[in-house]
Amino acid sequence: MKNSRRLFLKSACAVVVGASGYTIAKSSTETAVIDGKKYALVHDETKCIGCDACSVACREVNLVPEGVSRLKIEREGPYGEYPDQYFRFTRKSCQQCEDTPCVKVCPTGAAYKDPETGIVSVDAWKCVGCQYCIAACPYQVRFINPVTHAADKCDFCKETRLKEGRQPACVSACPTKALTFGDLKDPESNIVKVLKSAPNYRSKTELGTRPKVFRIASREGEVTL
Amino acid sequence: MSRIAGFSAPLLASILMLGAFSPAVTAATVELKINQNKQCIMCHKRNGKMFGLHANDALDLTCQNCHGEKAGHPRKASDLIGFSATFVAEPDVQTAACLQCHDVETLSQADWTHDVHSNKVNCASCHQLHPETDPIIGVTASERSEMCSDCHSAK
Repeated sequence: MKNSRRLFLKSACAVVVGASGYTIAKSSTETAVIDGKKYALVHDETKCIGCDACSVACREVNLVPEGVSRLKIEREGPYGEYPDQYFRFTRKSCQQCEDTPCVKVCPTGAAYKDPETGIVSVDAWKCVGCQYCIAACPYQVRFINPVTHAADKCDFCKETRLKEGRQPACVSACPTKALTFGDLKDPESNIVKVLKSAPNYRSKTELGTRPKVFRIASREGEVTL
Repeated sequence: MSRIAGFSAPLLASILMLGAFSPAVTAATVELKINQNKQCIMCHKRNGKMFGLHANDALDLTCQNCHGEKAGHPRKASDLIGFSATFVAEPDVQTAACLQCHDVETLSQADWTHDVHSNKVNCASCHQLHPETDPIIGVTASERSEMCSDCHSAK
């Protein structure tokens, strides 16, 4: 009687230890197997002229309906006195976080980070439109697409331009070459060269989101409270 | 019913057409005040006529208001200015003619690009006052960004 209970407890413990060891081993091999690219983007705000060629091209290529947008250029200013005035332009689009708040809250798995490219995307057919991701995104770049009724946002043109082996629409549309796109893991890529040659910043890094949209800061304006 | 419709439709159409055409006929016969300026229009019949908003009789503008006094033109020296990127007058001289009436604040509210271009690019690079409508009005977003990249482009 006593012996059999001890035996039972022993074997139960062994099973639990074995199972947890197996899952740990499995998960570590999984992360090791995936060794894809890590796509990122640099927006050189010193070169940006606010012409909106990027957002126009984005709308055309990704068939983004009017009224919503995956990419916006936000304008601040004018700073200074006429006629020596200037504006600041900042890019508002998905920041392609490494630590993704939107994926964490998605109940259906529609929001996911593609292991091959590191790009955060949406499986429109899995999305139930609960809008948790819209609430969770600290950059407020997600929206419900009025055509698909699914959450939508910038995916670096993963389903359009990247499939054709081309650069994202915004990058090729930019007349001043303010945008650079590429693989962070490739030391020879243009993006790595740009990032190493100029001081840059990312938005809201204090939240621990580790965004992959880098910015080269233009001249600051006054501080508004 | 159908007989009435068959009879009245052409009648109605002709009345409507008469109504539509009559103002155009009168507009063609009455020349705008600005285009009766003999001093200029005598020679500039083809390239001098004004049809845009600025030609409005109520505004009472003359060619000289924008282009300056004739003085010795065409044989001798004058301070006349033309409005185009190729004209000798510097952009800020050309812009000054427009700024006589249009103030910087209002222009800034109308479009932010005024703030950063006004002393570097002449107004005529984007605007035209002689034609009936200014071509910049109603440009699409893509046409607009193409206009930006005409000048701003990385080699």
